[in-house]
Amino acid sequence: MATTVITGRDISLSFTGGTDIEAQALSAVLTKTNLRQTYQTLDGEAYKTTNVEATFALSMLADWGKTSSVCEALWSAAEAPETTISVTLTAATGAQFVFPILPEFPTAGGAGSDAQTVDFTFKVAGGAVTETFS
Amino acid sequence: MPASTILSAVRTPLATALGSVAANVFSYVPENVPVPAVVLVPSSPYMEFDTIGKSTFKCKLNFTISCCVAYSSNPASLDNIEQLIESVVLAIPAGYEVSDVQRPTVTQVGASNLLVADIVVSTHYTRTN
Repeated sequence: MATTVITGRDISLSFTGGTDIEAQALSAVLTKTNLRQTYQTLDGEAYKTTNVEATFALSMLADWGKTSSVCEALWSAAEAPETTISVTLTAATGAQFVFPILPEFPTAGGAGSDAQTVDFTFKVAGGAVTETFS
Repeated sequence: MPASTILSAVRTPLATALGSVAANVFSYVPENVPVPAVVLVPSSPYMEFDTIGKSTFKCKLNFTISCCVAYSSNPASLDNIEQLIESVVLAIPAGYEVSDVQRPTVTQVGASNLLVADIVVSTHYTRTN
């Protein structure tokens, strides 16, 4: 079978509010983790999954002041910190993930010589990721 | 045809912004360089694709802004190019990373010697359809 390669260019990303996140995003990584307890028993190791967590790491170019600014939309959203934002991430055609994130305030400012960037690690509410695989 | 091009969205606006500088400004490499001159030259790498997605053409563009003055006496030429660099840096519009200025070098163009210093700048371009 032929080798498949997918890259960051294959990603598409959108979130509630309709701002143009894809034009600004440098990287977008969804991580879902099983939290396991490990028990040493007389039969060997036994495992119990106690929780499922997910985070969404987003690195983006800051766009303060732009019409339909992502930074401004996220700032406004973070003022209602318990209200989730629905994110749709397509890793590649046929692999789509929809999940609710809890909003965070973006940083503002940066170094004189570089483009201003903003890095987030959003918590996915309830670790609830809905995947659609073709 | 796309509604925007790199020429219309980046190079020409940058050259227009540099128009306030007391020099001949070119958004391309001219055949002759009438000094003092400011020439916008693609840098290397010219385009970097650092954002996700491929729904539209987006890239980071790197340019070298070459500042050229006549090279006759070293102290006067250096003063001239320093003043030209200062005015160019002040005229660079918002949205450009200005990283550094390479040291001035003497370059022969045709029969004349020019003192040339390169300012390295970058910006991001997204094609609008």
